[in-house]
Amino acid sequence: MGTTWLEIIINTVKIAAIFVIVVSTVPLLVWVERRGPAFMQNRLGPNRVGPLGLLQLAADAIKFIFKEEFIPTKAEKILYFMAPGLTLLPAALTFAAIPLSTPINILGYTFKLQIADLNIGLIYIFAVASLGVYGILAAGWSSGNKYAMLGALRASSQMISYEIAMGLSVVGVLMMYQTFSLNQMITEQFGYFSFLWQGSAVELKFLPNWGVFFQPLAFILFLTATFAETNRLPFDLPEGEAELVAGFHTEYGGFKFNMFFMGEYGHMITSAALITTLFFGGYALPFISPEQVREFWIQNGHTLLGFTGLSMPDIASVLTTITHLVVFLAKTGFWLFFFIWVRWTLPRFRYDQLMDLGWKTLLPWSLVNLALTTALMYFARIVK
Amino acid sequence: MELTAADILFYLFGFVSVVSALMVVFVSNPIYSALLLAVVMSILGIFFFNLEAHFIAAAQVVVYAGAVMVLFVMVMMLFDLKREKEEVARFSILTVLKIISVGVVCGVLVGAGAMITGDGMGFIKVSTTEAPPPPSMLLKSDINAPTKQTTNPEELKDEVVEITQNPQAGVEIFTKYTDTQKLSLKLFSKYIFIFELLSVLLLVAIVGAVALARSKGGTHHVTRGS
Repeated sequence: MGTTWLEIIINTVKIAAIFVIVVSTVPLLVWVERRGPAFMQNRLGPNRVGPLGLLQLAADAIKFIFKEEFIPTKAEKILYFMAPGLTLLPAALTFAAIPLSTPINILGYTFKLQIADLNIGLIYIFAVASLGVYGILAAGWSSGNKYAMLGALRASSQMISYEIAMGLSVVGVLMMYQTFSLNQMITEQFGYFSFLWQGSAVELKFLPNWGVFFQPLAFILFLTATFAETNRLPFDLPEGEAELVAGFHTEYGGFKFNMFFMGEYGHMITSAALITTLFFGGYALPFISPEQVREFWIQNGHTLLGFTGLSMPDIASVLTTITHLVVFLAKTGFWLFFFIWVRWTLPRFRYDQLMDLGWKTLLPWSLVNLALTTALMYFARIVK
Repeated sequence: MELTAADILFYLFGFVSVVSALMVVFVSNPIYSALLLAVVMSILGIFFFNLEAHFIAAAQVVVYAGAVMVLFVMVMMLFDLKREKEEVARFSILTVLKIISVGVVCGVLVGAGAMITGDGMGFIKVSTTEAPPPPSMLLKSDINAPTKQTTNPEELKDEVVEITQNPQAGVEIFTKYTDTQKLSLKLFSKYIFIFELLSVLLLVAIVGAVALARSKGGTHHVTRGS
């Protein structure tokens, strides 16, 4: 395939680096998950270990690693050990298709800040995320515990139900962008809010060209479905403590439990990144296209990185990438905070309410969204 | 012969898929069978991906591994599987004979199909004329060639016309149909009738399943008129 060793090494490093970044964001999120809501609820949260309680994360990690490993007597051993991996793997794999920033052009090479630039990026994410159910099912069944089993059944039926609403809600977005590639979707969202109505251009200069303004209904449906897909409150019935002890991971302890934990947060990170990419312009700044950012850094970049002795386009490219990475992280960070915010605000659903919401509310509305988008695109000839 | 990274991955995944496919049959626990079948389905998706059929690869994983097999596994986990396990665990001569006979019947069917259609069905080379080059060779040359990205519907229509009028060119043109747009264009123009027919078939299956679940006393008790 003409792949040189340099490419292989760089790609390997990239895969490792992005995986490590995703996994090491998890403790940070846990810290936010504990400190943030504490302030919402007028208490302090863990603040004794280290500055701001940050070393609590290290303490947690050490505890997870050194806890005793045990296997329940009724467990199916092979599956019992495989289940945490089966949960973590899809969560980590889905992140591979997310574009983090503009490519860096340096010394004649181009580095993409994305593991795999797939032209079916979006379906790839859905495909791999749908495999996440196996980990939960395997965990529940192999534990040999009725609570775990019930949790697994709830989780899988919930994930399958909401996957349908999620997939259908995105079809409208896909029709609008006319592509599956996440990179191209972001390119479509540069600049002002503008589209073609019956062949003539309509522009609204006070709105960015984001997907959320074109597909508000799809956004609400997608956001709701992601909460169910990631098993977060208000849809965390698979592990509802009051009824099922701890749901599908009742029989897991130590690092194996931690892997489920990382899997859940991994799904959350990918979901937040996907919401950002589909509806909020991805790494792009609102109103300002990457080309304009590059122009700006060509003018002003030398004061920051002039000492490295790189050529001007290289410096501008590096700084543009860093700018967009920061933008991407800020947007994704907001949605991650939103996940946590909702968790500590809304109570848990009842199981039949959950199923009703999935099948009788989200599914019909996503069909309505699809029909509406089709009608608008066909009759009003709206082209984004 | 130069061994590329894609080749190594092909042999690796090919080996794993064959082993897991065999395990599906020989493992005693039905749940493991179902999970291994899901592995086989996912690896088929990887093969499609390797052949640059990205959309089909993703659809394969979403539909078979992500939805169908999940339901299988879920339902099986609700059963008490002791009897089934024992039956396979005994593994009498009869069982072995059964499995072998299934294999033989499949082989005979494939062979018969190849003889009747005369094009070998991709398994057996029947015609004496020069066979078209294998897809892998076409793909490799295709990668180096500059790919033409077109979203103009008129141009795409021309290609569809070309493929309908000249079936011999089908293999060569198919390698260009990596784009989902092109795939859907073909699906909704040339194969629209088959496509709609399949959707009706699925609808029949859904209605049938619902009817069965209602009439044979399913989990939900249906009270009429309430």
